[in-house]
Amino acid sequence: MNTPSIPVTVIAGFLGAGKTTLLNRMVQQAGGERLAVIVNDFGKLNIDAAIIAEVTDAVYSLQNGCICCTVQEDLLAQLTSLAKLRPALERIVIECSGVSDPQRIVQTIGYPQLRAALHLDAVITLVDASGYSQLEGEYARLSRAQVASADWVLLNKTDLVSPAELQDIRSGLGCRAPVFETVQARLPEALLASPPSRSVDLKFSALVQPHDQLFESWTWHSDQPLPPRALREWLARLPAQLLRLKGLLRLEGNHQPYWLQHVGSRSQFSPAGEQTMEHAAQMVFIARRGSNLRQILEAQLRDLQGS
Amino acid sequence: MTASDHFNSTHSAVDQYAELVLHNGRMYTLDPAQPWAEAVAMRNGKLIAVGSLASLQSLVGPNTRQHDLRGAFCMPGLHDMHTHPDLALAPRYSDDLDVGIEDPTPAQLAEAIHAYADSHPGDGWIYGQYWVRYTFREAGLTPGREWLDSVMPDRPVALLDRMWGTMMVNSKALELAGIDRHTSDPRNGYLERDELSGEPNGLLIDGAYALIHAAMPPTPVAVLRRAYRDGVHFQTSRGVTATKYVHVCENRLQALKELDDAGELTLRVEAAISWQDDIFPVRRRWELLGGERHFYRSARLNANAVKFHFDGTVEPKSSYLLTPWPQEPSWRGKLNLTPEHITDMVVDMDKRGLRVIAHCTGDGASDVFLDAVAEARRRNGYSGIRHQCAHSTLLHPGNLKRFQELNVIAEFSPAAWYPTPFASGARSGYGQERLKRIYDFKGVLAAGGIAVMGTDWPVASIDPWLALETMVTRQNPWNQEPDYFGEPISLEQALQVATLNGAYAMGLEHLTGSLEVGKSADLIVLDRDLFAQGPRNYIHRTQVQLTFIEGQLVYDRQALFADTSLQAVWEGEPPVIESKDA
Repeated sequence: MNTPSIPVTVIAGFLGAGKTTLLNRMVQQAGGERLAVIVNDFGKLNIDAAIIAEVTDAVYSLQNGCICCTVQEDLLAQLTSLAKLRPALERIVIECSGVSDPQRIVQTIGYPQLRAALHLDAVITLVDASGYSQLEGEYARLSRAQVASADWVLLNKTDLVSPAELQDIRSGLGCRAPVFETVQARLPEALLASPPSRSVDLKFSALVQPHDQLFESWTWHSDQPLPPRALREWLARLPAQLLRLKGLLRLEGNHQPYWLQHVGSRSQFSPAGEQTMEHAAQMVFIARRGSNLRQILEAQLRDLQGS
Repeated sequence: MTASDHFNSTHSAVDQYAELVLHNGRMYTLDPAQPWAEAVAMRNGKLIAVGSLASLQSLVGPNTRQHDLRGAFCMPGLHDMHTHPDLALAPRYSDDLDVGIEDPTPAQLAEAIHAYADSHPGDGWIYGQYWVRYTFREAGLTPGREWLDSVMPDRPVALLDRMWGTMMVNSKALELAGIDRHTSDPRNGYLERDELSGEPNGLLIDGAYALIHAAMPPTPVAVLRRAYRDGVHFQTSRGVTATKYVHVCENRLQALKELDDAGELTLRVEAAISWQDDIFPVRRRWELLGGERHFYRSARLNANAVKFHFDGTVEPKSSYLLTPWPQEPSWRGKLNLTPEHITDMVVDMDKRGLRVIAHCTGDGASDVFLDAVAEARRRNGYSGIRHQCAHSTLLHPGNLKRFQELNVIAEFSPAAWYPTPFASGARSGYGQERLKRIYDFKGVLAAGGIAVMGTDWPVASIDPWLALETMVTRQNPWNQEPDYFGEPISLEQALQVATLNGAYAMGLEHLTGSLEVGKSADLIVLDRDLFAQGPRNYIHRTQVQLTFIEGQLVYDRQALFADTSLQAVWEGEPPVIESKDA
């Protein structure tokens, strides 16, 4: 049972926000990665699936409308069968219907029968900067739900609005997740390529090329286990400039090692099973370049261990 | 002074004359020996003559009341063989917490909980709706027991989210439900847990709700009684004289008995005891099945049936099919119980004289059910009990003849047997090939089987006339679009489905379902001749003028008998209990 858990990326956003553009970009960037895509063609006659089918043959299209509310057991079944594919998949991407709340999909990924095989990596919500402020009623509520569920928000089509409008939209989003302004859903590659998944031979090393203009990455390790309660409080306070954090840790009072994943503002622990651990705690960080978080966070971690 | 009982037995005294004669009617009798009549005579709740007015003159005595129908159409009462007024109406009448805001902030939610607690003092449950996850995220808060404990620590609280995906409960509720880190997840949902300790965090997903419902006090009898009363009132005023309330518990039976005792149970009810706790818990299931159900028995009420959910529904693709769903390599849907469980249960219930009513939407589910009935017939011989396949949305063509062979009732519910924006979207999930043979009345009838209809409110409208019209047209009743689903049947067949076949499904074909001498006087008088013009956009507009059950006038739309000893239980227009569809 050394099959690594498959990371699942959920892409949400309104019709026309750029989900399919992002999806196609992810498929093209995947290179040799074994990627499965679940698309949802609510009211779109499969046009999106046709585009994607040109790129990869692992396309799963839900024809029956909205994933979140009508095809949930179906999604559960699809994920179960995708998790059984051998050689194993390295990533699953789910494109939500434009009029759905991704929370339902997140809840489906949480089903006990899937937990051992896959995990939620990130919810990416696209917002159409040129259309967001016109949404009303139930659409406005859905859009809020999509933004609130996000680990990262892509404020897309920013070339179509003025800087002042953009500022209004940003402050109106009211979300706690990091917001990226993009054109044509160009999400930085470093964010999509998640750190190596839970393979047994995991090596912690910096994930971003040193010359990257936008991001920086570093590793940290310690030979002392971390206190769980204080660690959780620390995680809850992490600043938005920290985009990803992955760790393999021992916790005080618990002999079992854990994987830790922090994306956007969401942290997840999962049992790491039998791992040979070089250190009692090791972490890899990705943050916005220039945020100068490394020293501050490392000092806080030392304080945690001292407390 | 209370009224005396007047039950009929072998040596009861019998009047020489009829109590009531209805004449000058256009009566569609469902009796092949005499398909049409112009008059009926009633005595002691029974029809003592059916024919021409001249032929029953000898039954008219000095105290016989005669009523001129002025040519009105008259027929046996309708049989709605599957519906749920309690599920539709009880939530409306129960006094749960209703936050009343589309997307309440955590602060507004806390305020609503406190307001409810203040107006409902004590230590009882606070149960209600809705909250939404995203306002918690926007506020930087985590929904769950910790937050809810900070709002209301000492009373159990359970709140549903607006998407019906998550129930949030506090620690007190978890404690009363006996839920802790050792509790295992149900098959159709799960408990969200702390990743490190395994302790439930107070968020219950999908089917895990049932763990909380099981710990909550049941819906009070008074609420259920009000719900059934309004349902019965509506059904009676739409001409239904026999129905099945599919899913009951001890409280529901008590509510029905109270209505019966009060003279307000104005139709025959077969109540089916729930086999599973997935809709509401049944605390006295085995006492009821073992014989306690007989305490509720009367001419109007029996609970000699048991209902179970075998497979799911179309929308989440959980109907259990014989072959995979469209676009699916292997997904056939889900069975909630193993075929062995079903077989042993059907054999056992059959032996006890209980009718098994099995929810089977997929053709795989009904196939397993028919196999179980075949096994019951093999082991028990023919018990005289006709079991009932509920919904029968999709049937394998090879099973059509088995309904007749095994004496199983095929019940169809109109939720989507005609095109509507909802049905066309949802049911298209079955795929075009399956859609052509959806709700196959015609196939079952052609193979000699008994097909009946059940409105299945609140899944579809409880109005039987909508069901009757669309059985004949299989088209949208409100417009002129040419699309149709499945195969229509003739008006004559549809009337038999809705009357005599229903009586068969109740085991009462000797007593009701047609206008024949010796049968109970269960009949209705309409505002129109059903055969007078094309059915579309016509039949569903039918108004019922009079409804008789056991010779008693129970509905009188125009209050014609208001000042007589025959005064009806219900008068005037039918009550509005559902929003008008269009």
